[in-house]
Amino acid sequence: MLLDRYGYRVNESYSQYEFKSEGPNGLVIKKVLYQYMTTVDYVDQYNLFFGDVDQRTGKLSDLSVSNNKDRSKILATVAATAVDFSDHFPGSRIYAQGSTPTRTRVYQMGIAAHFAEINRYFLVKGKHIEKGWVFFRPGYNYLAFLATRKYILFLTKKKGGFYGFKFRTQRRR
Amino acid sequence: MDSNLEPKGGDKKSYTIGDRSDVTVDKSMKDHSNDPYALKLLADARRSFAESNFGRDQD
Repeated sequence: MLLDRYGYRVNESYSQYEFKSEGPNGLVIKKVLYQYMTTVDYVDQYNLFFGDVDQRTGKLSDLSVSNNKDRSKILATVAATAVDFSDHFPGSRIYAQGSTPTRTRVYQMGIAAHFAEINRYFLVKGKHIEKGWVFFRPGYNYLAFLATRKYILFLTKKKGGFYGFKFRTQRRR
Repeated sequence: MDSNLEPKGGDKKSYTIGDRSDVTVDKSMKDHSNDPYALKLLADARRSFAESNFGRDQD
């Protein structure tokens, strides 16, 4: 599936990404950070920060509303950075929640809109207000999200007739 | 405008989600890992996650 998204650049440690949003209100530099949060059951978990770079101060904000009419394109770009990040941090988990309920709702709409593609790469859970952490289903409301990269398990034959297992991330396409 | 923000890959505007043909590794990218606002949201995320009882209500 082809997605309309922005090209982006990444830092050397593959934990910070930048791209520019272009629209009727001009150009806005967007930043995605993957911040180490915690480790649960030997799985490292990273918080997805998403916001704007203030071009005057160089500082981050995620409360500005750039209204560049490119929300879908931006969310597709953020999803692409998540794939890239999980390529370099295999076995990790990504946590996302908006800074406000409205922002969380935007994330939810973005995941739902691209769910078929996202579901190829990630197992996505949502924090339901009553049911707790459940598998994400479009059409339901969640307070936060967790995404874990899917892996393919291969059976490999070794010398002497022994078999072993090998994990690999989903093939890109 | 920072010319380093120009993505490689020409005018191509549509990609598969895993397509990295346009991705540039930028060794001089400004480090925002200690940005105060990012750290505040990280603290909020840690608190919310801790309160969410993850792992206690899993299948």
